[in-house]
Amino acid sequence: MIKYVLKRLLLLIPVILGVILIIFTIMYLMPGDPGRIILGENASQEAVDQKNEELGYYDPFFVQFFNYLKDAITKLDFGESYRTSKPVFDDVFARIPNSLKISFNGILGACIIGIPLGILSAVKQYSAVDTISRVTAMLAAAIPPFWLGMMLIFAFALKLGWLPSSGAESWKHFILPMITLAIPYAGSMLRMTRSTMLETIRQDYIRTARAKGVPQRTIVFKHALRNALLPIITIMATSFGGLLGGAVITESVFSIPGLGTLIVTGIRQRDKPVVLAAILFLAVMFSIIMLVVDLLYAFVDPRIKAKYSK
Amino acid sequence: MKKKLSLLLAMLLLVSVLALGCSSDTGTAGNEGDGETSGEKRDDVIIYVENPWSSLDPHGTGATTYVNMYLTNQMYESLTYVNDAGEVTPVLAKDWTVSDDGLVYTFNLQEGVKFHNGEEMKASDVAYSYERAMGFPELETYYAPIASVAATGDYTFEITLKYAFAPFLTYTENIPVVSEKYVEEGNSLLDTACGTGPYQLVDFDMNTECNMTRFDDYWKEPASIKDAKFKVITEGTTAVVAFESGELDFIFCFNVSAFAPLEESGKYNTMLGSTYHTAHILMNNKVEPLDNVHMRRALAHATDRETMIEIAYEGLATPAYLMANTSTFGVTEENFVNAYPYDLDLAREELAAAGYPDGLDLGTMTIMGGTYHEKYAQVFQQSLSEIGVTIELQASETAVADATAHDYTLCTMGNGFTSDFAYNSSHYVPDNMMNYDNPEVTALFEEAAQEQDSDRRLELYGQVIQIIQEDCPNIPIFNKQIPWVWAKDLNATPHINSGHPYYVYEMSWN
Repeated sequence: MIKYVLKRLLLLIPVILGVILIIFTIMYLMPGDPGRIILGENASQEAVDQKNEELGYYDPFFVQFFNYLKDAITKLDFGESYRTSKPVFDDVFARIPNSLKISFNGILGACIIGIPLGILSAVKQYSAVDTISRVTAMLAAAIPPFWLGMMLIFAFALKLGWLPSSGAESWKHFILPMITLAIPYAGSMLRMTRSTMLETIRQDYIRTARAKGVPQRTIVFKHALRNALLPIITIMATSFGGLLGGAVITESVFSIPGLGTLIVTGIRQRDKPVVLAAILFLAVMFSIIMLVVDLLYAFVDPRIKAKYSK
Repeated sequence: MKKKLSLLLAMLLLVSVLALGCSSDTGTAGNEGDGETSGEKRDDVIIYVENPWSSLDPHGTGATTYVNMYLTNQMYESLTYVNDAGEVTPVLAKDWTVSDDGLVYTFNLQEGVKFHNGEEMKASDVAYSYERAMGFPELETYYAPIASVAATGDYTFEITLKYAFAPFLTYTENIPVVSEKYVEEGNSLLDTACGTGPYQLVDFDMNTECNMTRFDDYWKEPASIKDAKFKVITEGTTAVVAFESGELDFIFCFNVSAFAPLEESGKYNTMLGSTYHTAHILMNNKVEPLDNVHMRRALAHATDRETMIEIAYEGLATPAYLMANTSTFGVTEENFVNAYPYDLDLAREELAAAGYPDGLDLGTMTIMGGTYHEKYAQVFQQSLSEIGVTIELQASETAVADATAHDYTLCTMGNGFTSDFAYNSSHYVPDNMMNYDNPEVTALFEEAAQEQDSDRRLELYGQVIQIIQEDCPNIPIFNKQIPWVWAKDLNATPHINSGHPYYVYEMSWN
C-alpha cells in the first residue's frame, strides 16, 4: 500500500512539470510586454525597456522557463504580480481557502441532493419519483452556472432580500454560490448513482439476497450501494476538479475573491505571473485530489487493495 | 463497509463545516430599501469599485489606474485641482505666481494643514513629494517639463521648468503630497497611506474592500460622512443587483445597458456624466491609399455617428468631432463641429477624387476586441460597403501595441484627454498612432504650449483644430458618457474628470 502511494506521489512530479511547461508556453505566447503593463501608458519607452530588461523579458524562452522553474522550486518564488508588485504566491495562497470553501460545499451539496435521489430513482425505477427525478436532473445538469447564479441573486438577494448578493464576508455569502455550483453537479450525480445502482441491483447476488429474505433496506444500502459506490467516487472527484474550474465563473458572478476571480482579472490585466501561478495551483490541487481518490478506491475496493498489499 | 462509508461522509461534512466555520458572521451592512426607510441618519457610505486595486501609492502605479485613484483621491491632496469647467483651483496651494518667462512657478502653501500622522505639512513635504514622484515613470507625462523643485520657505514652494509650458499648472493636480516623515520612517505607501485628505485609511485589502474613516484634524470643515467603504465587485450586473438590494449606496462605471431601468424606476439619483474619453477610428496616414487626404475624407463622410452611438453605446454617448469636448481649453462651440457630416454622396465624390470611383478593398481593420469598439466598427463596415469600400474586421488583443508600432491600416481606438488641448499634441505631433505628420501643426502645438497669453493660446488652438479637420488624420466617433446612480437620500457630486470622478468629502445624507 505504501509502495502504491509512493509510486503515485512520484508520478505527480512529471505531471506538474508538464503542466508548468504547457501553461508557461501559453503565457509566453500571450501578447503584451510586462514593462508597459506595469508602468502604464504615460511611461517613456526607455523606462519600459529597462523594466523589461530587469524582468528578463528579452531572454530566450528556455532561459526564462528554467529561471522560473528554479525560483519556483528552490524558493517557492513564483514571481511578482505586474499589478500589485507583490509576490504572487501570497496572493494565490490568500485566495485558496475561498475557492476550496465553495468547491467543497458545492460537491457536498451535490452529494446530499444527488445520491439519495439517485438511489430512490433506481429502487423505484419507472415510478413517478423516478421520472420526476430524471427530468429534473437533466434540467439541472443543463443549466449554465452563470445564469443560475444571476437568477439566484435576483430571487434571494434582490426580490426576497434574504441573502447578500456578493462578497465573502460571512457564511451567508457562501450559500448562493454553493447552490449554484451544487445544482448542475447534483444532476449528473443523480444520473450516475441511478445507473450504477440499477446495474448492481440486477446482479445475481442481489437476487440471492432477496431470495434469502434480506430486508430491502439492507439490500439497498449494504449490498447494492457499496458496490455502486466506486463510479460515484470517481465522478465526485472529477466533479471536484470541474468545480474548481467552474468556480471561475461562479466566483465572478458572486464577486468572491478566490482563485477564479484572480485568474479572470489576471487575464484581463495580462498579469502573467498571477495567471500562471493560479492555474498551476489549480492543477496541483486537482492532481492531489485525484491521488486521494485513487487511494480511496483502494480503501473501498478490496480487490485493488489486495493487488498492492502483496 | 457501511462504517467506512459513514466515516467518509462524516469527514466530508466535517471539512465543509470547518471551511464554513472559518468565516465569521459579520452580517451585511447596507441601506435597506435604499433610503425608502426613514430611520436615523446614516453616517457611512458604501461605494462600488469595478476592479481590484493594485496600489495605494499616489505616485506609483496607484497614480495612473483609475480604481486606485478613487481611493487616493479621498486621502491625498495636491497643490491644485482642475474643476469641471477646466479651471485650476487652489487646494494645498493658497495661491501662486508665474514668472514672466513662464519658467518659474512659486506657490504659497496653506498653513496649518495636518497629515494623518499628526505632522504639519511644510514646503519640504511638497518638495519631497515632487522629488519622489519624479522617480516614477508612471507619472512622466506630468513631470517631464520640470527642471527642479525647491522649498524656499516653510510655506513657499518653487518649481522651475525646463521650457515654458502653459498648461503646466493643470499637471500639478496629478502629483499628490505625501508626508516626508512618514515615508522616511520606512512605511510602505503601497498598502498604507498618510496624506492630508479628509479621509484616513482604516484597512485595505487589494482584492476585496477598503475602509476609510473621517480625518478629524482635516484643515477644512471635517467630512459629513464618517465611514467610507469601497467594495470591489468585478461583475457589473452583480453590482447593479447589489445596489438595488441596498448593499451599495453609490455605483458608477457599470454596464450602460443597466442605466435606463434604474433611471426609469425613479427610486434613485441618476446622472449620465461626460468623461475625458474619445472612441475614434485610426487611419494609418502613411499607408496607401490612406495617405491621400481624399480617401480619409471619404471614410469620414461615411461615418454614421448617430447609428454607431445607438448600436455601440445604447445611445448614451455624445458625438465627437475632435479628441476632446467643449470643456477642453482650446475647444469652443465654434470649432467643435462636424467637418464631415454623414453623407454617402459626398463620400463617393471624395472617393472619386482619391482615384477610386468604383470603390476598393481596404483590407483589415484592427478592432479592440470584446468591447463597444467592435459594434461601431460593424456600422462603419456596413456604411463603407454602400460606397463600394470593403474592409474585414479583425479583433485583436494587441490593438494598442499594433497602433503604436503603426502596424495597421485601420484600427479602432479609445483615448483619454485632459482639460487642455495641449494634451492632443500626443495624438497629432509625431510620433503618433496615426502616423500623422504636419510640420505646421507641430509648430503650432509647440508655440501654443509656450504661450502665456490665454487669448492667444485659444487662437493658436483654433488654427490647429482647423488644420486637423482639413487633414482628417483620424475619425473621432463619440465621447462616451458614464452612468452614475446613487441612493435617493445621498447627496453626491459626480465630476467629469475621469481620474477624479467623486469625492466622499462632497457626499452627505439627507
